[in-house]
Amino acid sequence: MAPPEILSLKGVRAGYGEVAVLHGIDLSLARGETLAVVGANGAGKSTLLRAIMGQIALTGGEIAFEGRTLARFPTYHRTRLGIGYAPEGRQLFPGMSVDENLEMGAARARPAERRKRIERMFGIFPKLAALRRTHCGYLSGGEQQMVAIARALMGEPRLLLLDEPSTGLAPRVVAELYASLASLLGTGLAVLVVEQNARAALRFAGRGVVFEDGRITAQGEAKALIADRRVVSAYVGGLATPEWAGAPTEG
Amino acid sequence: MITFATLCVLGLLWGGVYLLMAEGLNLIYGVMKVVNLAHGDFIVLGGLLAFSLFERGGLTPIAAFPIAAGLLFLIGMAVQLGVLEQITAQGPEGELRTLLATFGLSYVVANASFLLWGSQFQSIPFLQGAVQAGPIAVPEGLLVCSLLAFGVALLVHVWLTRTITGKSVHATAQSALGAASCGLNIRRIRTLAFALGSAMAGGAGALVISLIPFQTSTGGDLTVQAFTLIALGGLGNYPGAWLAAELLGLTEVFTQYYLGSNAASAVVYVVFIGVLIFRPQGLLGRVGRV
Repeated sequence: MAPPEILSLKGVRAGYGEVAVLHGIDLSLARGETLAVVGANGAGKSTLLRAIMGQIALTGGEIAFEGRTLARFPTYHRTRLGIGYAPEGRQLFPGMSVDENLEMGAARARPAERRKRIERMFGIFPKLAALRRTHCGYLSGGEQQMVAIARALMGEPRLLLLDEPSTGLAPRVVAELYASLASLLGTGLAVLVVEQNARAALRFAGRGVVFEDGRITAQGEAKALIADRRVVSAYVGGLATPEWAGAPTEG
Repeated sequence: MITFATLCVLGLLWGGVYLLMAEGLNLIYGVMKVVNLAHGDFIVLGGLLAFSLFERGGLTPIAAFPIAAGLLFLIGMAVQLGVLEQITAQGPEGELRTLLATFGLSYVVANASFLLWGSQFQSIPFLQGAVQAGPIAVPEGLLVCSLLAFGVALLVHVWLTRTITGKSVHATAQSALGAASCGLNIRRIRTLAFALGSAMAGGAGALVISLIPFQTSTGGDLTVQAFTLIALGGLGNYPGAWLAAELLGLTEVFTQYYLGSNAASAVVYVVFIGVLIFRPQGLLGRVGRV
């Protein structure tokens, strides 16, 4: 039996003022599934996540999480329903320590439970344990991204949304980040990652979707998309191949 | 030497009073990036309320402090939910609209105060003796108000940095989207911050009216003074506001003594302009990498 659907988008349209960005997106994600949304800059990938989190209003269509339509819920409520979100630009609290940033991710939990979850995060991102008292404003880009993801996981979400996690990071750091994320697979957590670094995202995810001008132009198994010459030449091959990613599959 | 020591003590004590008058504005700006132009009028309203409580009920400014703070907390809550929360536009346009809204609010509060208390200066004669500490004589009223001001500032600082609710306010001040992504109800946090900032203004007014006579039109000057202080410290920076308050207190007291009271306010603004030129982010303002 297929795992139950956790996220469903039907005919989603959204944009900024008069400018329409998403043009009728249909998408679904099952429990425990990983999905990479790739595409060029300005294709509407981040807008998709903003729409799911209620940062922008829909002009059409519907988004449902675990069968419940999200239309009337503000961002904070969607997080409380079980959606973890690491937004573009990380949106950390720079004047607060790593520990305090993580605390905020589970602000509603009991103090003992919060501490337990923080230790669990240090198990996933061991590098952060030594930096727990450091203010986030002083961390490197990679460390900040780890805090952003760990903070999103602190609420024990069933769906994790990641917006361009590899932006501005060195290939080695991207590898480290995705290796940490890979350790979450199999726990029942569904992950939706949007990336310009298509190769990194498609190697991590089980399924991929290609965005172009706010529309889905290709989708399928991530491995198949990496092997697809058209997709590779448009969205993967055009990007520098990171050393860690190995030789391009298209040969 | 005794004169110098006396001026230092007086400067530091006045710094405490200035801090109390400005910290509410700092909290509101820090969380919401709104300069509340009615802040000074809230201080005056708290002061005039304390004046009435003193005149009719014989309550001292210290007894009136929680009443004025409580009333202004409720007013702040109503203003945030009824007015500012309705102004939803983001970016420069939104900032301009909230600024205009608080400008209008300033007029409403000042005129309502005028209708209730008239235009004459009011003050409360309270603790008018002096405490002798060795060769230094310190006015009792200033000492009590300043110590209370430091106590409140310390309490707010501890609340902001040690409790989960305070940290949520602190977090929202740094990134509203980050806070919402953590499941924090930023609408409720903004309301709490505005109400608390207003309460601090009302409480400050209840104390300061025993040191400085108020009339309904004093509010504008107090807003400018409070804004100068928080800009000097680094907008939204709490330890910075503390440092700036002490610097202003000392500058004003020394200038007043050596150059006269007319020069005092001018020198304060010269210091302010100097800081803006050489350290535009304020004394303790920081530029993070996030």
